[in-house]
Amino acid sequence: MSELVLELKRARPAAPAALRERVAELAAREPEPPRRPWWLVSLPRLRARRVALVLVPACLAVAVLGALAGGLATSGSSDSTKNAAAAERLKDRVLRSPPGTVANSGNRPIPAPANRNSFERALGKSQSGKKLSATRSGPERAKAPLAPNTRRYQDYAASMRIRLDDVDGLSGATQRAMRLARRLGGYVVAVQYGSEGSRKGDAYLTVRVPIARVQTAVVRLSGLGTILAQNVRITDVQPQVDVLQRRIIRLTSDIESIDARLGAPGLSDAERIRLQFQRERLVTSRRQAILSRRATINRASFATVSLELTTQKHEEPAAPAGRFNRIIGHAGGILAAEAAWTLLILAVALPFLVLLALLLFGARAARRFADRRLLESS
Amino acid sequence: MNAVAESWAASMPRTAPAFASVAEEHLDGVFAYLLYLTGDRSLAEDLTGETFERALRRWRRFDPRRGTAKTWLCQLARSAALDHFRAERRRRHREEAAGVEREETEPVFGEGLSAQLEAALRRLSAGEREVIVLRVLLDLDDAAAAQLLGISKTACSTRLSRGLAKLEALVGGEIRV
Repeated sequence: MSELVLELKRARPAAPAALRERVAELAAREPEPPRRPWWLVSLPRLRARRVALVLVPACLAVAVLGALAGGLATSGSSDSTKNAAAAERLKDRVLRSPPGTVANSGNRPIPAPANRNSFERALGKSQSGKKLSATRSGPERAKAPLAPNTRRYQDYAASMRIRLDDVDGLSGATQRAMRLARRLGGYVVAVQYGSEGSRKGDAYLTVRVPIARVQTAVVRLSGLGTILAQNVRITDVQPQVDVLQRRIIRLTSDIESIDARLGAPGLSDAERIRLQFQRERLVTSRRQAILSRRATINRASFATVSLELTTQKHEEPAAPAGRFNRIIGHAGGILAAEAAWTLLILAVALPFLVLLALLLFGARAARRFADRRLLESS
Repeated sequence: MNAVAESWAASMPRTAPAFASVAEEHLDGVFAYLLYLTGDRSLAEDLTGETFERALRRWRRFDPRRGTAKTWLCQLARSAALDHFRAERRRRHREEAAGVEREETEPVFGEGLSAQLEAALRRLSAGEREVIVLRVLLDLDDAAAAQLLGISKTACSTRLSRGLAKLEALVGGEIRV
């Protein structure tokens, strides 16, 4: 084998003189080497891998810096954040309130929007069909609730969440609340009491007290413990009573008219029977209207007080995050969005890229295979 | 020329040698490669000329960091030879369809080769002769030859072993010229 190789090496063919001259002529036409622009002269020539090694970290750095800049721009100052949050809460509460409702929350009153009635106006001169409510949350001292208007029929509902220290206090408070309702001339609608051990327990009471004494009831119930939340809702039902009253008067008048016609002489039997049926219908309708009016008045004469007594501590809302934390948080959000977009683009483009790579790889393999076949057959 | 440009020019020989010197240095190698690949001296001359014309046109694109000038020239030569073989195959198809007799050529693989070795080389396929000329005559290493052929180094070594074994078998008396 080595002899064969040596013979092949010794007999290595050399290019003929004519070819050598032809190539020398070609080489004489050698083009000037390409000159790089002056601003690229001092830079090393980068290959694709090196470019990728630089570009990928650079893109990541740009993404992180962009996210930080975005976080810095959107974090804002602490005061502005508080104001924005307060405005957002007020907006949310107002939007959630039904028409004709004024909401109050927290330890200080929040002024109602200009197009809503103020509390005072609502209490003194509540308009027909208006529903008024006030809500307080957080530990606070007992305060007098909104007073009902005794000259109008109103549906008054109050709810309170009160914290007690332990189960013993919870049990005693529940009993005191029930006694208080009865002492004020009211009654207990429902009561539910439950406890776990000596530290955890809850009680739910619904009592009805005369509307004239509801303020007293609320103030005394508030003294059972620490108020966590308080809500008062007043719905004016005077219009309903007035409508029913007018209907009763009209029906009574109609019945009297029919009675007069029935007493008139010369009435045919058929006409008499028709009038009697009509009178029966009117009497039934008047009876229903009277019952409905009485029920409405009864409902308005008592206020419903829902009481939730609990031993669980009030959870203070988390303090607003510092500016640094907000920046980090916002930057994290922006980074997450960038990552999501990148993943989305990759998810969409990846199948096409893989297909393209497979096509290129297949075409290259096929070309090499064809070349090999061609050389083997030559 | 300023200092920066001078320093750039000083670095040029490493990155871009002169075409004339490259052509002079590798002309014989390219010619030998094409001669072994085609088995036809006049065709090898034509393809060598074409190879250097291509090389001159693409000289600016040559990057010494991606491979030696010899490998690059052999790639161009191989491409030229493959183009020729494709055209030749099409021509043969047409001539066979028209009943034209194929023109036989007498290959000469080098001065001083024994008649047996010459005949044995003629019996090898172009692909087998190609790997022999690259590895034995041009002294390309495994990596360069494999890159040029588009195969792995192992496959390149295997192909060389088989080619030499076949050549030895043909020279060793089994050949019937």
